[in-house]
Amino acid sequence: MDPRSTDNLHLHEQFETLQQQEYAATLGMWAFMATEFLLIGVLFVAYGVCRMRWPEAFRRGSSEMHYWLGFFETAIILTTSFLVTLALRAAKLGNNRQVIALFATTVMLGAGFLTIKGTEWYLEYGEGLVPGYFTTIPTKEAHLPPDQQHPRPVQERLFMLFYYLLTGTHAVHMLIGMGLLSTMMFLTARGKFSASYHTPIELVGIYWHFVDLVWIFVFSSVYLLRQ
Amino acid sequence: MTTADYIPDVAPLPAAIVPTNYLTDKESLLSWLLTTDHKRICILYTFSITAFFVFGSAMAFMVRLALLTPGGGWVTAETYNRLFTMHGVIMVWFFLIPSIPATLGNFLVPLMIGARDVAFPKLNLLSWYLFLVGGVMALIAMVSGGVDTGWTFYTPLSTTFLNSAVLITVIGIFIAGFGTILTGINFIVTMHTMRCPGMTWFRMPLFLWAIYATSVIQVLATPVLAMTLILVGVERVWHVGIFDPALGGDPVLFQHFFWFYSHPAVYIMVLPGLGVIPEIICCFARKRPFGYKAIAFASMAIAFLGFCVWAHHMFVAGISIYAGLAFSWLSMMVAVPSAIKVFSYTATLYKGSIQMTAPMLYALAFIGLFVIGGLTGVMLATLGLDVHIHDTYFVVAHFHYIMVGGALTAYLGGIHYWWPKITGRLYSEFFAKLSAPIIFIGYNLTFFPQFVLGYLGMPRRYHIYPPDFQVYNVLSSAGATILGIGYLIPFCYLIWSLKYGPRAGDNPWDATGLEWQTPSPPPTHNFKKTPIVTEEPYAYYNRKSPIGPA
Repeated sequence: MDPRSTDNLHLHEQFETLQQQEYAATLGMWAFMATEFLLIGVLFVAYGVCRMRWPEAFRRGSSEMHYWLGFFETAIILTTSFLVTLALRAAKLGNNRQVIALFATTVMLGAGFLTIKGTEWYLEYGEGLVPGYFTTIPTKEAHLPPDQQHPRPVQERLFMLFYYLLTGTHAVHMLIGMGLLSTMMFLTARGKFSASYHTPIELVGIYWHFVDLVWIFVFSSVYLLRQ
Repeated sequence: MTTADYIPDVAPLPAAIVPTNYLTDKESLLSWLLTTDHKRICILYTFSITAFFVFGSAMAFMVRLALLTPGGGWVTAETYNRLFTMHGVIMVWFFLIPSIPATLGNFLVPLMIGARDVAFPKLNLLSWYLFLVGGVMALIAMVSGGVDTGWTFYTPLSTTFLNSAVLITVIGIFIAGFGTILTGINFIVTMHTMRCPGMTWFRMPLFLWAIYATSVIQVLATPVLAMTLILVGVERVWHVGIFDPALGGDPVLFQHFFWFYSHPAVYIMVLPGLGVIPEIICCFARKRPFGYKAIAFASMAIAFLGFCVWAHHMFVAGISIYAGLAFSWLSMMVAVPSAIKVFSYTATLYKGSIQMTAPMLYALAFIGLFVIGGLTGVMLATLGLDVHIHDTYFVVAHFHYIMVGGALTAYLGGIHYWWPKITGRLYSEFFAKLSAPIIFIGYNLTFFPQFVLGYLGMPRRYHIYPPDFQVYNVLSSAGATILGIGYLIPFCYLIWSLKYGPRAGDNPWDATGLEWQTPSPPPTHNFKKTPIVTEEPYAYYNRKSPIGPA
């Protein structure tokens, strides 16, 4: 590489070439994805084990999900994945204006997703689906008068707990992803990226796709297993 | 070698005139706290884990003191529970897990592959801060009443029944866990992408293969612990019932998750140790390792098999007999790569020009202790026998042989071996040769009686025991004192050497490996120019005379 090339501005001192740095950054991101996969995996395994224990209660829990809202959320998620892929293509072509537009749309759609998600949580609260751990301690509930006890059996409340853990963890990752996308928009607007250097955009893309993939598993295992 | 120590810290002179090293490059406190130099981060880790080791040892010493008499001595049962719990928590997560990877690994990975630094130097520093925050939280838990769950946090004991500082400890371990993960990612990426020209995978020192295998475990196992501890915290605060059978949950599920991390975590502790030993043995036997590839692949095999054996901790926890059989067989399989390593190290000594230097003594002590720990591991993997000795002192002795006898001895050996490179000074060989046998003898005296105790049926985690067992407990406590003295001696002469030790020169052991081809201590960017590797590792046959300080 020409040492006077402006791309060397992006080269950190520990690396020899920009290619090496890009390889390192990409591999690091994939290794981090492996960590994330196992982090979320614990929740899915715990959910699976409890579902095997209480198939009927969990089926009832699933059938109470607002699965049309879940369906819209999934549609939004898949659209954002597509947009992020287009943005990577635009970045490779050096079309910064398009990158910003696509990322802005993605962030807005992400906000839309979280709005629907919040609505869903609100509706469930109104329907009394919240497991109610804040107000009563389940282990001590048996001593309370019947009208103060939670109306649902503990197994269904366990299902709702997993629902909140899975969707909550996913929502936190969405928020991080939206923050990363916004940072990328800002950096792109500042002219940091070009057709020859856009590794961070690619890495944020990997992260975003991972978050989307998690949602697909959440949607299919929590919402769709209802019959 | 360097004259930098004599230059007062005034206006910086041109680099061409003053050959600075990483220690003298910048000297303000801030330059240390904000450093991204992997060598300085090694020093930061060394200081912090040594402090935690002192805390953990103090707890162990009090435990041994309490066990001197059958009646429990000077502590109540509750205090005793807190003592062994904090001993376990601090020693496992804040000493052993970061010990070799975060100190020697941080220092050596870039040097051994001929790189200027790790791939992500800022993340490397972040790892240390995460470790420190986690450690401080564990210490806060210690002073705010302590934890008495045992280091395993078994549910529902930890979630429902105890009123100690479980939550803050769990959060501390969670935070420190991300430090471990980032270190692992850093090393994997560094070894994949930053090897200098000519440094092929099979020219890497065996230490790096061990660190690579360790890093894979760190990246894949630690997140499981992290999420599990979150669930424990959630359950503790809101009594949600994931691990509570009364609420539809499953307490054994916690044990599955916990050991899915914590069994591989044992290999996080001992694999780097298994990587230090061939470096020392090859250098002081002046020989190539016997079976380089076998040792390298054995590291990877241990890392892989380590993920397939977790349920051997749960043979009596109500898992099915068929699962027990499978896990028993898989656990015995771990002995195969472990034995390959031990036999290879021993065969390397055969017909070598052996120098009995201090690191070599530590390496030989490691082999002796690791063999005992490994063989008793096979005994414990046996389904029928484990039912008898599960949760007894036999288990305690077994894992201390691996984690203390193995990992800690290897850590000390490695510290001695690379001390001249890290500090630029030589330690007192006499005292070093004195400390290694003291540690070996003290170690065996402490833990061998515990095998007998466990076999006779003394359960772990009790502070009282039948008077018949007293003689073994007294032996063990006496051994602990000798062991404590053995650890104190290196602490003194290593610190002494920092100021008064003779200058080491670039390569005091006449060793192969890129880390010895650069000045001691190395300059900030490790090498004056990127090295090019042209020979196989451990090419000791090319060296004329074995020159060592011994």
